[in-house]
Amino acid sequence: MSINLSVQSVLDSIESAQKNDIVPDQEFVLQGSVMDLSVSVLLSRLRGLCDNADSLPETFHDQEICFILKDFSNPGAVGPGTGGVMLRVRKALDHPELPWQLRYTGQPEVGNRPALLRNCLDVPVSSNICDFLHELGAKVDHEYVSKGYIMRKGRIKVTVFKIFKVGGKEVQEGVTKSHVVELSALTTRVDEAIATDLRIVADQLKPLVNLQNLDYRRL
Amino acid sequence: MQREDRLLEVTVDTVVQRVTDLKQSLGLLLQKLEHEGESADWPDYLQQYSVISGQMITLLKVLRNEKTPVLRNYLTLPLQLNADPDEALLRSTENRVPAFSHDFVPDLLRTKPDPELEMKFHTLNAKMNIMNSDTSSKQINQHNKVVKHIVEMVSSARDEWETETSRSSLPQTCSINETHSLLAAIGTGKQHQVGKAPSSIKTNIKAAGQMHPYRQ
Repeated sequence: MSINLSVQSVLDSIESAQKNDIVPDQEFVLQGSVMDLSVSVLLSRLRGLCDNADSLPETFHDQEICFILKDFSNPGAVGPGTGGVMLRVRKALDHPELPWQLRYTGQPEVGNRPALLRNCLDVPVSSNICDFLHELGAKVDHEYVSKGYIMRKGRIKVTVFKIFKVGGKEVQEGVTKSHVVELSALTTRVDEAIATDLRIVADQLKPLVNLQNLDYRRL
Repeated sequence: MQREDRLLEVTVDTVVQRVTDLKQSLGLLLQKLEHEGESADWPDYLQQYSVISGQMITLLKVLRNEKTPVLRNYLTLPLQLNADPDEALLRSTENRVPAFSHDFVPDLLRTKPDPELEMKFHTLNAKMNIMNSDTSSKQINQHNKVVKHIVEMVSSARDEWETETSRSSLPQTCSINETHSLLAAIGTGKQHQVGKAPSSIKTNIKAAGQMHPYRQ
């Protein structure tokens, strides 16, 4: 009984948070790339800009598998935009003990903002998530390995990483001769002030990197 | 005669208006000095100074205008002094003059500067005349030379800086095409067909499934 009550109270607080628009389910993103030769320059500049300038940037090595869950309630729909929901499963290759992560990112919001705004949900999951998604009818769309550095500046997450194809055994081939540079910040539906901060950091990285609000679907 | 009176009235009104503006800006500057002192940034101070000097210039322009009657031709005569406090006067002078008495009136109606100031002015004038015209022109030339040199230094530094920035943009550090292929690869797996090989993933999933405790 007591468990039921506490579940109810949690549901209530979630509901009230949703009503008051204080759920951090939005993210502002700016993306760009830097050539491999200039990565060290960018990193030293970022170290100066970001928090904890005295320590080396943290590294990460992730595998990301993207699933597409088709919309079965509308089987007749064809063409772009009806591709179903894309769900991304991430696991840390360098930290196998950590939980996996299921990530959903929505379509970019319409409107003129300093940074791209999109819906975003991150859930820590157990390692059988792929099985679960498979049972739901989701199909693997593509996968890749990302390896790079992560830094923080206040609420802003800064990542610099290279993308590799997932080949045979341990043989990983870079997709291009550049690293991806990404600034992102979680925010709520009502708080858009952080977008300006994102833009300010991005401007400080010019002309080394040119970060933009790019919509990958239009590329 | 009536026309002249009206003209005088209008002129005095304008002058009073200009002086009030000037007084307000001076008050603002004093307030800033008192409250912020050295912590205020100097462009702010410069801006206030330029406002004040602009207001001074307009005031002088009004006084020198051809249509403005020559005010010094008008006399102000104190006809009656009164030692009693005057409420209206106190209000109109912002609490500075409590009564139209013999204590204040001579100062208020004075047309010559303070004797002290006048002395200072005279000594400066005398000093100016004493100085040799040769020495002064030499000093002016030297000053101009120094200023010219500084201007040259600044402009050459600017030229250098500009060419340097244009040169540093030559080596490319990022490419928009690469950005596009990378983002497309992350977002859709397209273009470079990132690991578009479901077979390897299936084994992956199986391996994950077998690791699951409930299956064992």
